Amino acid sequence: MKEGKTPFFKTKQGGLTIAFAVIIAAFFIEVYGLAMDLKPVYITGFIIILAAIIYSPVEVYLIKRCNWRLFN
Amino acid sequence: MNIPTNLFMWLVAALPIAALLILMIKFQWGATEAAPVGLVIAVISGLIFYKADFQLLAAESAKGVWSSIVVLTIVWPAILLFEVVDEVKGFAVIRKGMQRLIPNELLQLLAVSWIFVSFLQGITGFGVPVAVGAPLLLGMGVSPLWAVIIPLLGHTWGNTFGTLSVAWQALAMSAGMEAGTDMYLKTALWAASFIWIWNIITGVAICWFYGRQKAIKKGLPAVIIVSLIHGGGQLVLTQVNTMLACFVPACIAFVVIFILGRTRFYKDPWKIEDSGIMNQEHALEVKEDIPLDMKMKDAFVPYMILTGITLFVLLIPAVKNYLGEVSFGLSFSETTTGYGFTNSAVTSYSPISPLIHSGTFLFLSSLAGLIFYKSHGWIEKNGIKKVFMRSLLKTIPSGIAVIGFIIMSKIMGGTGQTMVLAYGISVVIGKGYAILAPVVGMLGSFMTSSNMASNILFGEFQLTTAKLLGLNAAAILGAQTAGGAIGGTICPGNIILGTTTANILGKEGLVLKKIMPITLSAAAIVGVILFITQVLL
Repeated sequence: MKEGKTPFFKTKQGGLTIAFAVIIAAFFIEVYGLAMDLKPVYITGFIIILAAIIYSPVEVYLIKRCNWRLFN
Repeated sequence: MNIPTNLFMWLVAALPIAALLILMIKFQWGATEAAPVGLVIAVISGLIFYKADFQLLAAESAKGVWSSIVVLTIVWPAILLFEVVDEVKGFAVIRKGMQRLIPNELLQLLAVSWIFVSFLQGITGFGVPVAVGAPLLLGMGVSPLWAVIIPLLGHTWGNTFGTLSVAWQALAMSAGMEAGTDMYLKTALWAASFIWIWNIITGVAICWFYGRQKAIKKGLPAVIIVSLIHGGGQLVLTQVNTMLACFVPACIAFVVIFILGRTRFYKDPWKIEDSGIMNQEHALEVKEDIPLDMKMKDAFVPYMILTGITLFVLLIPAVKNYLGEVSFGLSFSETTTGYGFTNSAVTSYSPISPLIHSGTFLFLSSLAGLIFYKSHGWIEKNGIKKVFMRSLLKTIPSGIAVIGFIIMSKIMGGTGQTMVLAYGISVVIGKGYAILAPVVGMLGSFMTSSNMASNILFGEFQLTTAKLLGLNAAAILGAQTAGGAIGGTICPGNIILGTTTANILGKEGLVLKKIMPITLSAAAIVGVILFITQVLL
């Protein structure tokens, strides 16, 4: 890692990559739960998908703005 | 189905779309940030007001992710194709070659953003025209925003009868029309007539954006000739063979534009120096980058391979049927809301046939391009690795936006919200519905990012409404699919595809802002013509 360079997974692109991977994993959990008719499983998968999708606006418009206001 | 269709429920259903449009157009939020907001609103509306349960929401979200995978398996190889050609500075070669073959810059633009993308739409839709056209235009010196906008406008006239008329077949199936019947042919005639109007509008609009009145004056003869081929040819062919109604005119126009480039009116170099859509700085940069031994046909190799593979697989029924046998989709049980709105069980939802999937053709073309360029020594050391990494890093951020939009549309559809939106329009305005029939088609396209899906969603609804209101069913159905085609310019899936391949992800709101006035005006024109011919006369 070069000095001063932000690690990839701490950048916005990296965060979205993690979110994308989480969505795909949660999708399989959800499909498994629906196929087996396991309510807790498919609800868990659904909530994880939602959480991963709303990561971006929460990060850009809430967390970053709160951090900016705290430190300025 | 007992969903109360009143103003309150209609407003609730409209809320996710309104939020999306306000955030993207007024506040310039990118799709990656705006889509989740629309999705959350749709989920809350679905749960609280439309009486959906978690099983329904989970099923629709799973369908949404699956459909997104289908789209992303086109996005990634389309970006890969761009990166392959860009790595060898192929776009600079294409630009130089186009300037030689067609010295008129406006004609070059029309050739790529209207004619070539229409040719691609004729054989393979699903966003490929925008994904391929935007980077090509970028490489030709068009600024990124306009490199997305003009192919979005240029290709959608082909949405209904292109891709071997899948959207049209979906309408025919949805409305119960058998091929060759009087109703089938009349509907096709109405659809092609409305689409011709849209085709002319898009040709003129591209000229206008390039250079206002001066460009329209210069480009109008070419636009008229090409539109006669596109729109007029399609109109005639719909009465003979709908499968080729877009493809054949698109091919003919592709040849004719090069002939036009040799005519006295267009054979001399011509451009508008201060065109608002050209990126002159980029044009200056590329002059130093051109590989000396690469010819234009070399730069076009991946695109020629793409065209060849697609034509071979999709136009030969025996090949298509054989390769299409490898197919898999997901199965879902029936789900129902508390109001009785039912989503039928399905054994194979949105099946992917990998051997006849557009993404496969794009990927193979990219690979072939890499092999070809490597064999000629045009790819540097580690160039192949860089190409793959760049394409993946560009695709993933857009993936979140695509997934967000598609899940939102699935949940709205699965909970009955989309149906309430369409039904509410017809109940409130009676025979005046004729004006808004194309808007319903547009709504479907916007919600599903597909003319075909819009026709499936609303085909039967439009037919029923036409009969209830005593309107000409063929004309209303024609307006449905024309509206769906027009809506292809504003559907988030296509826009994200364009902004991703043009490397301006986050600017979707700006694209929408520029395109919406034209799209809404075109839908209004179709609606007014329908109203005049069906209600007043």
